[in-house]
Amino acid sequence: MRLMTILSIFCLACACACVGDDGEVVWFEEVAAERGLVFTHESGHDRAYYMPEAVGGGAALFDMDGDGDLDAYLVQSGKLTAAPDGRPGNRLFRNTGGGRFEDVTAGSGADDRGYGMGVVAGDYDADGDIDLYVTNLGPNVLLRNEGGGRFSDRTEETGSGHPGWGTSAVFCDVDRDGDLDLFVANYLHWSRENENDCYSPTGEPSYCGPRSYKSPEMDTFYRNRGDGTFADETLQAGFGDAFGNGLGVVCADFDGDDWPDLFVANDGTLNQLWVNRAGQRFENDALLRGVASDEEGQAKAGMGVVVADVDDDQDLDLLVGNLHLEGDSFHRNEGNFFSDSTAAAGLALVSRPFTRFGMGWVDFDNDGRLDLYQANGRVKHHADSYTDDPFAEPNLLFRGTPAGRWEEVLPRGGVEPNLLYTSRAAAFGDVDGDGGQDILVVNRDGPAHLLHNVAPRGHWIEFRVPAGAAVVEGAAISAMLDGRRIRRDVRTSFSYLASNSPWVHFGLGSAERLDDVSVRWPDGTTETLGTLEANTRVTLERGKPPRVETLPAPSGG
Amino acid sequence: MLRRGAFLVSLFVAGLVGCGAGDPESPVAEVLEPPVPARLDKMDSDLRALIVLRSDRVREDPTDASRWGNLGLVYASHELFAPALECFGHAVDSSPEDARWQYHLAQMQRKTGRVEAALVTYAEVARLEPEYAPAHWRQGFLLLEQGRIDEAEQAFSAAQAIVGSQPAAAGLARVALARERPREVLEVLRPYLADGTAQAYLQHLAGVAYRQLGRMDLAETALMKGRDSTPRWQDLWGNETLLNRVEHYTRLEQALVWFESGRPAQAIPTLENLLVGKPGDRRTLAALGRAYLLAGKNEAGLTTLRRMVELHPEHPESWLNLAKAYEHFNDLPRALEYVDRSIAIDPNYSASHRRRGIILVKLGRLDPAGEALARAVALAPDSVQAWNALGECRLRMADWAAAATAFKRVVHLEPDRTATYSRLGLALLRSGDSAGATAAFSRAQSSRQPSARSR
Repeated sequence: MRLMTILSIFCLACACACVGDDGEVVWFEEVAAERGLVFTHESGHDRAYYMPEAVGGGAALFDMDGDGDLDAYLVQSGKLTAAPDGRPGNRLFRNTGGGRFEDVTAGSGADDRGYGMGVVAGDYDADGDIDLYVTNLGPNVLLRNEGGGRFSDRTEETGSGHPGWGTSAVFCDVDRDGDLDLFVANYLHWSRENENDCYSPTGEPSYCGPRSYKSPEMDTFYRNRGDGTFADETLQAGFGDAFGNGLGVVCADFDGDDWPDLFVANDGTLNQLWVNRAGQRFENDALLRGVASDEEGQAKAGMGVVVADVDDDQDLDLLVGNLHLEGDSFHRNEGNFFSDSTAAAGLALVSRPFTRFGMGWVDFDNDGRLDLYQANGRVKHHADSYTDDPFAEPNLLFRGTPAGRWEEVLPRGGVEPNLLYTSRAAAFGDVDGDGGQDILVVNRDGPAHLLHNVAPRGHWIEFRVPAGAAVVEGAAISAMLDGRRIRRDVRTSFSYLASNSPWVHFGLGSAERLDDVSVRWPDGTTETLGTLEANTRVTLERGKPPRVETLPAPSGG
Repeated sequence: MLRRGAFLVSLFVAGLVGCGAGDPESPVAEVLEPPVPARLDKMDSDLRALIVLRSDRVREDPTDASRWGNLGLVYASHELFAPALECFGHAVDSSPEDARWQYHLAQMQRKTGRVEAALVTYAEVARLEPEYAPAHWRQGFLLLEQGRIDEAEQAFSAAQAIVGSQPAAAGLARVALARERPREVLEVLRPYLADGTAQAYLQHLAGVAYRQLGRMDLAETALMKGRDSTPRWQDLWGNETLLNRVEHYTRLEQALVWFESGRPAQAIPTLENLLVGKPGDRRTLAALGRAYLLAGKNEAGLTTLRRMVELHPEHPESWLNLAKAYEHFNDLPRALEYVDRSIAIDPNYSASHRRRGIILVKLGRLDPAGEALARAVALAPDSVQAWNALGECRLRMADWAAAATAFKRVVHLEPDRTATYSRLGLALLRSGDSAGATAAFSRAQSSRQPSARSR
């Protein structure tokens, strides 16, 4: 029976697999326009090189209306010199089912016209629907979800409109009081007045690197008061002790003490690991724990960041994407500290020619191993260009292997023809409910891409935890799969300027069930769920038996 | 995929070179036109002129390896890796026994991601010039990044056998780290750590090893010493690229190095020359103005910095530099006026607050000085200079505990800053912490001991 199932999966996969011109299996098809997701990012670049133009373009996949599918929010930039009314504004897209979208921005109140950077989704007021926090060059904006596809700007009354240069942000209950606090990575102090003149190595005017400003900005921590407002406790909580040029952030319990910590990927300055001291104070312990830099020693240009248990030892490992000519930084969690395993994981060289922003450790082929996607795009002129866009680069896709290494998937990026754009945010989630994880990529001065997963895939299970009932960000689901205990977490904030699906995806390969499933809630309590069958969607509510919905077997796209 | 035809040709050439091909009858031998990089028209005029000049030299005699190599060096120096790869490929075709051009070819193969080809070429360099250590240790680092630990160890050991060098030691230390043998790391690094010659990067690796051994106290000290450490290895051929840079800002950086190392007279002619090409350039104006002042050419310095303010009044740095000039002349009220202009433009610029605090200290206005310096450290908590200035201010205010806190922060950020341990000791002594003071003074004393090598 088991053999027959395996055979049937592989026959199905082979029959459905899309094959490129070179006979290589394609993992994704770009379907944004045909699915109604039409969005073109505008950096506003004209003649002068203003640094914010180089790094913007965020995206969120979140269930805006509670209908069980992922809607999309795309962050726009626009002309830096224009008044906000003269900018195009962010766009909201409703998933009408099956991964098809309609633009519902008009009248939604979600069309913030700040010079946009990123976005994070979370139910900050615990009313059961998902709100949005948009980071800008200039005041950030909190958009409260009022239901019915409408949002209201609650920045002022919540006290959350930090005026600096916000980049990635994360909602996370760091003090475990049952509501979502908010941490915002800030980049540097910038104004048009203090912009520098910078040049490429050949003397061509170009964007500056962050070090030329010598002005990193302190990150911002908002503690949720529980009454729908936030208190800026950045300094009280200790975040004033170290600054960096913050671009990426994740919230995760790295040391297993049930207090979520914060990791900030900094660009050209040492990264920070803010270790949570009982929810009140944070101490930057990055240097001693081995994540301030990797084994190469110097502060690299940290941008995208992703966290997951990639080696099945039940603690959380980190990957930071860096600049052209710098290797990635893969920090393997050893318990009390991290070791640099970039080379051992096969990630030291392949991505080095590219500038990596959005990234995700996601099981795209449902084989039970986390794959890796990296969205790339330059920030400076190089001598050669792939297209008329001097900053465009191909994105990269790596297959996770049983040996604990990643191998590049060809065709490059898993798509054919190759997509050559200046990619920034990448948000991950299954937008059409077919069991394959899709990708939404924002491209600087280009169209957003929706990469529909068409890879030959194994079985899968998806876990959903409804918002509102309790904070679930950081909940860890673990299970036995083919003799391995694997762990996947509820985590929306990772990658770069992005908010990802809140639903937890397990690829099962040919296995027909997950055994000994348990969930560890953010407060450290654990529930056991027993055995769960493949190709199901499991809804978890604390203290209640799981609700299991059977779904179609994998179709390979 | 790169769109330029020339680049495709270069890939073809490089691929064949990497495979050891060099058949004069092949079509590759006919590709003798020097590559022209994209966006040539947008490049710095000096660089353009140099490319044209060296390309003409190649055309005069395309069989001359050194002509190809010298053009390649110009491209490599300006991160034009693809045409550099092509040029070095031709140089190697013309003179396959020349280890230097082979080495540059390997460097370009490495930088363009052609890892296997680079390994083959580095090996060829090692065969041709076995005593050239960088060929071995660069090969080692590439192998290490591929996870080929045993082969990497062989390469680093070969480099170590030629001359016991820090890159070889760093490589062997990383091999030991990859094998999770932290004691071996420390053993390898010991000679350099013991005699005080270790580059910061070696301290970083020692810190990683101490961490693996659970010696967190030692780890913290070593990691602080080695934090944000970029290795600077000796590599005669590799450093040739530095000598071929013509771009304005590269020369400006060189002038700044001279200036900051106390050689303004050496910096001034370069800066003056650069300013002819870009008369309004802010960084050049600032550097030249400060260099004049440092060289005692006060009038010229002031004129230059005033010019910078005229041209760039919107930049806080313009006013800050002018403030420094007046501070230099001891006209402190005017210095304060200009530093306040700087703060008005950008209230979040730490350097302006620090300068304001220092000027106020000189004016004897310690309370507002303390406020300004507190603001400076709040804006830049990793700034050693800001914490040090705050510590000095607190000492003058007889606020011993606050001074001690500031100086502790300084030595936390820079453990080797000997002078600060004395100041810390003084602050602790005055605040009644005799034990702490003794420890700090001891540290100051021990830090002054000459190293074994210098003895």
